[in-house]
This record gives sequence, C-alpha cells and structure tokens, in this order.
Amino acid sequence: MSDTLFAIARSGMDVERLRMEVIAQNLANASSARGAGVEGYQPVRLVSGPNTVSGFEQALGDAARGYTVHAPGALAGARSYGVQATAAPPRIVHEPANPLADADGNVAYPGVDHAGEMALMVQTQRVYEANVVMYNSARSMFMRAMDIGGNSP
Amino acid sequence: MSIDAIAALSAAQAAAAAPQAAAPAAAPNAAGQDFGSMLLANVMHADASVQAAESAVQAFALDGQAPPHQVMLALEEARMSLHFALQVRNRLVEGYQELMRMQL
Repeated sequence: MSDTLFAIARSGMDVERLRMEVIAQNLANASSARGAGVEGYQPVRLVSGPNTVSGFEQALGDAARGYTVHAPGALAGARSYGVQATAAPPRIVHEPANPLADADGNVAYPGVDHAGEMALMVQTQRVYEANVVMYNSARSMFMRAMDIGGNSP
Repeated sequence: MSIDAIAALSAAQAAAAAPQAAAPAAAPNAAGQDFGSMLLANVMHADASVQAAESAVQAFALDGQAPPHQVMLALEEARMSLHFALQVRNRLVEGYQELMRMQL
C-alpha cells in the first residue's frame, strides 16, 4: 500500500523508538565513573528532522498522489540523522574511597541530566502514542473507504 | 473461478483493446491497461504484503530483535491489502450476479 499516511506514521514511530534507545543508553551509563585521564561516557542526543526527498522522488510521489506538494521535502515523514554527543561537562564528586578517584579524591561521572532525560522520555512516549493513534485513524479512514457502495441493492 | 469469468467477459467486451495475456505485476496506472491485468496486479500486491508480514512475524519469533511496531505495521498492511482485494472481488461478483439475474 503506497499511501503516504501510513508511511509518515511509520517513520515517526521509527524515530521515536530510536530516541528511546538513546535515552536508555544515557540512563544506563549515568553512574559509570571514569578513571583519571580516561575518556568516559559522554551523554548523547538523537538528531532527527523532517525527511527530505529528492526532486525525482518528489515528482514520483506527486504523480502517485495526483497532486503537487509545493513545500520542498514535504509529506515524507521524519527521519533520524544520527546520534550526537552533548557538550555536558562531567559531574565531579568527591569520593576519596573510590578506587577511580584522582589525587584530590574526586571522581568524574558522566554529566547526564536525570530530570531532563525523564522529561524527554515521557515526551518521546507521548509522541509515539500520537503516531500510533495517527496510524489507527488513517486505517479507520481506509476501512471506511472500503464501505463505499457496500451492500447496495 | 468467477473472477476469471468476469475478466474474460470484460476482455471480450473491450473488442478494441489489444488481446493481452495475463501479464503478472504490470506497471500500475498505465493507460490502456485492461481490468483483468489490473486486478491481477492488485491481487499479487496483496499476496506480496501478506508474505512480507509472514516473514516479519517469523523474524520476530526467531530472535525478537525487530521493533514490535514494525511487525504490527506489516500485519496491518497485509490485512488492509487483503481487505481491499476482497472488497474489489465482492463488487465484481455483485456485478456479475446482477448481469446473471437480468431478464432477457
């Protein structure tokens, strides 16, 4: 089925699932300390944006839809561009008993913003749900269209 | 099957159209395409999506690595394709029966 509605909702679900994986990665590494002079874990963010289509693909999509979309790259859903490390500085905690502590007794933890991660997790979940609702709505529109002219005498 | 009968009927009625064997998976939306091959292409599309859903479910049952929403989307797409093909067939059979009931 080459309907753009289903493809758009699917792309949104893919992106939000990937974002959730990135959040899980951050939270899982939140308390992994790094030794002195060792490169530790840096919190990451998923970079996503609208899916841009090339001129040929757009012309093909316009021909399939039967109408022209004038905005460049419109109606192609979302896509993820990749994972980018944030510039968050490490969280320095004074723990002289920790074997990873440096000469001053400080341990560096990744600068994961817990509240921010939790808020982003809830937001990601809501956007995913919205995409599912969008898909179901498009599906019920499709099924309604199947009812046209049904059981006609 | 009655679909073949209908396809033969429509092909016989379209005398001007070139006699065309059942070409599988013809180009969609091509002008001058007869109804039978269009129907066949649609049925094959539905079959392909059902097979894609089946392989997605198999992959999910084997390793479970695929995201569950992709499996469900494949299943729904297969269901919608099948439903569409079924509705087209229902309309066709209705039309055929309407012709059969015609008093001459």
